[in-house]
Amino acid sequence: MTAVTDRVAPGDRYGVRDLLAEAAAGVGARPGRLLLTILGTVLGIASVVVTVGLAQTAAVQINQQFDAVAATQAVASAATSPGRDGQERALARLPWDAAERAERIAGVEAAALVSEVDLAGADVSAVPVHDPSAPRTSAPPVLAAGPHALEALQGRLQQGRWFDAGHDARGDRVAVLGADAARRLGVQRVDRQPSVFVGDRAYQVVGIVDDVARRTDLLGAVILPTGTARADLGLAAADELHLHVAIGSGPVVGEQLPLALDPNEPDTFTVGVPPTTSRVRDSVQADVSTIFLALGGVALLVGGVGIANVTLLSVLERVGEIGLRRALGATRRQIAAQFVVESVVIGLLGGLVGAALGVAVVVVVSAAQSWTPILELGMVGLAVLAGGGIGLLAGLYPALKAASVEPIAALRGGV
Amino acid sequence: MSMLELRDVTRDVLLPDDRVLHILRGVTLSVAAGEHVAVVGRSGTGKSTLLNILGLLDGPTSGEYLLEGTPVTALSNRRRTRLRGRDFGFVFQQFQLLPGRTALENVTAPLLYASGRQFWRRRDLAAAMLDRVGLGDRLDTMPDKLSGGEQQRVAVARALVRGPRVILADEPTGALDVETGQQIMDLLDDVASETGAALVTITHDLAVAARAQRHYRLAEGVLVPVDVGTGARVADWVGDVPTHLPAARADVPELGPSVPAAVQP
Repeated sequence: MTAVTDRVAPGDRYGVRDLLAEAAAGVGARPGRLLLTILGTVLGIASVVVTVGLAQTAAVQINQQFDAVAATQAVASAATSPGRDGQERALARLPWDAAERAERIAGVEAAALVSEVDLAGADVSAVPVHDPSAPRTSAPPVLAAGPHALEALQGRLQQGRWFDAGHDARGDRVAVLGADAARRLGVQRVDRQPSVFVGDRAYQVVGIVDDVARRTDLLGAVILPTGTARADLGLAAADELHLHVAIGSGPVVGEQLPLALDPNEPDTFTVGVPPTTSRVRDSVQADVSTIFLALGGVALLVGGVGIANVTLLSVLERVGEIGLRRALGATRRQIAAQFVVESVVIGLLGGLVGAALGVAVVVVVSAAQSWTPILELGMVGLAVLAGGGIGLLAGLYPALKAASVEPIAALRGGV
Repeated sequence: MSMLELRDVTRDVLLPDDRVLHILRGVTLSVAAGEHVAVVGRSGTGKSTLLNILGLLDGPTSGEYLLEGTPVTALSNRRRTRLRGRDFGFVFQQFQLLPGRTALENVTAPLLYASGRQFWRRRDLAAAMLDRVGLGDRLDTMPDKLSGGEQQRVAVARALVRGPRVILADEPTGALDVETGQQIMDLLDDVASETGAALVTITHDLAVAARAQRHYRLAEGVLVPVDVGTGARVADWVGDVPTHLPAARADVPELGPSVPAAVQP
């Protein structure tokens, strides 16, 4: 007795391709309507593409005027990991010859270690005499630096000179003062061969540095050669290796430096290199374009509502067709799928047109400003997909509506 | 065994003002395979509702509907849909062709929801069926470029392309002139008898109804068999002759021994 119903095959051959064909026919049936439907999506996608494209383009312009410092600094230090007590512990030590190793890498123009020196309570002063009547002041910090620190940190000497590799190798008792430290210590002229005392040892001041591009704490410090600090003050490990690299060499240096520092365990060092131009672009872009992206998002929302509206209208208009298809054996699911796919196709079309329009606007604006238009290709593809996604979301409710159409009522209205 | 059988089927509709409208009151009908049955009645007597119930588009409020002896009223919506697609072919008064789609695409449409060979060879099947209804040279014509008769032929091809076992025709000639209507009915009769499908025609056109082997009158939700062999006047079994009947049909007031030869079983 169940023969009739058992013979009904599941019959889900009605697949994506057929859905697409039906959707294309459904969409193409009303070309004028289609233009109005996709208008919102076109505008939304176009404004997002224009926003991102112009931001990227502008960022490159900004980037070209970027101070070379930002693109030429790099710093390496030992990697740390949290110990059992939660304190960060260094996994390795920078080798003392790290600067020499680094300078062998192509693209590195100068390298120097910079470390903080623990004075263990020793005083720093310009006169060896302890004057009990003088107000107590905090001593300027003492830093140890390599012979090429001036070049590596893009510093400028007010007077005198920086100590050289010989001072460093011999552990000579010489010092360079930061401009602020010199003021505090009362050192005004280097040609009088003044000395500063660290603890009870005298260090001859050979130069005063009054500007550095990085590690501005140097300006308030007494700077000793690294070799001297090791010999006299028991410097145990270097903190950071600062490098001045050629523009654009950042990524390569970042790759090679850890290997140069320790070929066996390159992972024990973290290297901060100049970001590649695109990363600089991204960071600039983020600032520039938030508002415009928000506007684009609103436009997209409006576009989505537009698609939902027109698709819903189309469902109401095509109630007869839906009823007919139901009479022909289409399940609710197949009807819903048809309308969702139609809506996705509409969204994709909108995304495509919008992306094309956006690219065109970016090119025109760039040409007018005589800029080089820059736009990531993936971004354009993403914009098209976003259109499809909007279509999908917008189509869900109308599709449910379509699926719930009763064939009986629908067929009375005509197709 | 009957192809389809209605047992004491009723259909009530709850009106907005809480009144219950009894559209069908205890309809019992049995149609055998290859049989042609006509149901006649004035508009508003529940003809469409009866057709919808027969075509699994609507369910009865009470009563039993058996398809080849199997009750189908309790089936899930999905299974009824599958069953409808496979076993029922619909022909409507207003053709109900998909606008903007060619004749071939229209006839292909039901096969999209089929499976297996019917699905994969749907274009060939649709083209062959259009050829069968005499439109083999109009495959890529849009419906609005076809005459009414040709459109109804496309609709007939669409109804028949899946090889249904029941053909439900709702006023199939209502929008056609007399001669074209005759041709469409010839076509339906031919195909139904070729394939052994049951044909149920709902019409208010007496000439069309006269072609069937058995006749029923639907009046106020009650289905009454009409014995055309008694020579009763048409007005007796239709109730009132619709006043808008074309004058051309006034010459067939009586059914019985004098019915056209084509009606004879």
